Amino acid sequence: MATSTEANALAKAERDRVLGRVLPIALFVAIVAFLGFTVNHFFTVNNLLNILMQSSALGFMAIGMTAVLITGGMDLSIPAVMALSGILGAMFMRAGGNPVIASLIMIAVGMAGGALNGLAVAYLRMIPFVVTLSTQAIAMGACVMITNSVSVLGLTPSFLDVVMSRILGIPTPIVALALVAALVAVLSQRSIFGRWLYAVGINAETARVSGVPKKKVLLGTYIFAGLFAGLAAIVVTARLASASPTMGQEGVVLNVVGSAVVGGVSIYGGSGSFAGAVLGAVIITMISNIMNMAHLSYYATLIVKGLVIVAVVAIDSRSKKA
Amino acid sequence: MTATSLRLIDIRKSFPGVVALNGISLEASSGEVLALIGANGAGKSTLMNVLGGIVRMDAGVIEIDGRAMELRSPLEAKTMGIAFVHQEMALLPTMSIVDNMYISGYPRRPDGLIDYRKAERRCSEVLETLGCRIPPRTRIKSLGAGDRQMVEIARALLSDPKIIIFDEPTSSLSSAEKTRLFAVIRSLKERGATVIYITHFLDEIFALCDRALVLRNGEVAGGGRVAELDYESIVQLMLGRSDLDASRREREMDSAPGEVVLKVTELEQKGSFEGVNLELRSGEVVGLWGLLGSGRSEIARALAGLDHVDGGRVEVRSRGALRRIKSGEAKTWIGMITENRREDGLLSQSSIRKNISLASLPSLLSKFWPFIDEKREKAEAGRLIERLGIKSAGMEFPVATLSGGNQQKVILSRWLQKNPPVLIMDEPTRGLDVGAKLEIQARISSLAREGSAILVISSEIEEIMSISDRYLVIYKGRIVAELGADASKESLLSAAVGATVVKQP
Repeated sequence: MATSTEANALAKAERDRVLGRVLPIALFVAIVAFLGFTVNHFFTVNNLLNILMQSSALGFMAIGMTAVLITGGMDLSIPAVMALSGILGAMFMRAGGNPVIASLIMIAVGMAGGALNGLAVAYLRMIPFVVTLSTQAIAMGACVMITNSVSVLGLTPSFLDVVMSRILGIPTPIVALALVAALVAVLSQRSIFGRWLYAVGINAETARVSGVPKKKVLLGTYIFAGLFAGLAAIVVTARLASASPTMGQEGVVLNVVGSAVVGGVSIYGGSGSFAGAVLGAVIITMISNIMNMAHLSYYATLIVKGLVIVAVVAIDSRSKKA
Repeated sequence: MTATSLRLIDIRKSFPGVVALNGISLEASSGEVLALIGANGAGKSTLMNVLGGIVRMDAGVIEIDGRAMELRSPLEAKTMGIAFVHQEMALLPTMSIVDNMYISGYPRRPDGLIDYRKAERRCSEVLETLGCRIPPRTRIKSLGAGDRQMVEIARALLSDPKIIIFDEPTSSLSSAEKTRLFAVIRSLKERGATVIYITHFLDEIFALCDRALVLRNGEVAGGGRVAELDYESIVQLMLGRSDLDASRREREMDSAPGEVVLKVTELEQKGSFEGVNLELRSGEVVGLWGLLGSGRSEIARALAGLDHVDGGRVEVRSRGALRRIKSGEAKTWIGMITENRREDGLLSQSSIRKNISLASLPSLLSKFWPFIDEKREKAEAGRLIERLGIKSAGMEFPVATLSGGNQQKVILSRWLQKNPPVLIMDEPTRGLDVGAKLEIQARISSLAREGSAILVISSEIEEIMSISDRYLVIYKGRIVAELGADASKESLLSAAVGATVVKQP
């Protein structure tokens, strides 16, 4: 009896693992195939780079969100904090500030927002959803108040030149995302923090009993997410050559969560990969593009993305329950 | 005392591999308080579950007021006039008293809405019979433990039961609240109810009960009128006469214990334990022995730095001298195997390898960069898997695929790899089969021989006696006795039920 249940458990574990890996890739292949057949000149270098370029900021934010989701948390504030970082960095440049310092400001503002979330979640034991919803509101309110809803223009040209440059013909944000994602993927498996991150997400009590500094891990995770909001801010600001509160509008949260979830991150915590999240960002971007080409409204796109996320989460729940 | 209201005749129940009830008969009259006592596993819970309609008996007869009954569900038991007051308080804290009392079936008005007026009136009536004048609209969370217990009782009384079963009702009560509870039970008795009172605490039996019945290994070991019993006779019945002379454990001490590695002074956690003093030497296994609810697990968790402490000091040996540590540092020095393997022992979806290395990651870092040296991690895990004989399809499989005994060995490996000077094990063999139990017990002994200091908690007296070099007995949050390796089963049990209070040396 014992052996058959063990064998079942083994088979199930294996099935879940394969499903988690294969699903995002299958979805990716299906969408690419669909686009390849329906859109003229889809497989041109320019078009593909264009899609990747559009995915890059989303990819950075999805990496941050993935870390938070792995701990079993949620960070709704990433896009709003990203917008605030971008605006403050842009204003610094408009006032004649050094673009390198401006970039560091963006990253620092992002990390500060993450620290706020992390302190509340880890040390005040508040619920991530509520905390980050509030942070989102605060950051968004600040964005609008600072800018009066007017875009911040007049960025230093060298900032735009460097960020939007190409390395071997490939736009720098794509190269940066690929390198950073690879680094994070390795760190997540091979660094102590990475192991602790998953351990806290799988079973926070087991982690605590085993001596994992749970609170520090949680705080670090939200700061990490904030750092990636800052990186995304650099990319978005440069791409738009301006910064405005609309960078963090409500649809972006959906895209970020969608990227992570479609990329195989469990919203129940404990599992998911960073490479998957970046792939998810590309998938979500392509879905947006298809909708665009089909001349569907922005709001119809929201409905479709919402449905895709619900479907993926439903599959995730099913595999958790069995 | 009037007619017999409850009669159980030859009740039998087997679970796969275990005979839980082997022909138990008992009688209880209305207007009487019957104490039901027995060590863990004696069959008390199963018997009460049969009476509550939760478990179906294999054979036997249940008679209420002379009529044979069949109890197929908790609802049927309730209709037959049997009510339970549970040990675990099952109240909804944010809801009111009246909501908690009626949650399983509210009275309704003709329009279908809840008839709160009626519910509240009845609620107040019942509370008043218990001497409670709390408004029925009060929320549970604003009540103390004693009042909550009263609400539990009121809920049981709502259906006007003839037979009321109290399952360890005093475990969370202060002594004033206990006095009040006893008064309530006495008044229930005067009104003709039959009360069955389950407890671990012998003093409560003498204070409250008319008769006592002792169960042992699924059978009635004996009993009688409480006035004619004393501590010793009850303890003897719980143990069994033959057990008294049975030879003790045979584990020989290979070497005298080493130096003190852990010294605890006046450790306190309000409401759980106080005045805890103990010393642990390297190379010894100390049994922390006490009944469920005595505070034994709370002491262990606090020592391991998992829960807060309100006072006292903990010192550990560090670089040759005892040094005081803060609660937050405890995890560096003291390893803990908790009593709930599934809840806080394992990362179920994670691989066996990652479960083993979880507590030792900093020591597995590569020399050249801040990455985990996976080659070394695998070698270490492989070594422990072989050493403890963990049977698996491979270390990369999820730990959830292992049997209970092998899962426990994985947790043990985790601490073997970290190798802290002090290890605390709370119920290390719970839920394991006999073979796995013996294996884990043997590991504990050999660990001590290799120089660890180990504190073990177990509900099974045979287990704790087979592995401990000496014992600290906990009763109501205090260490009441310190017994040597030659302590008898009888002396351990007596101390744990508060029968003898031996001063600490």
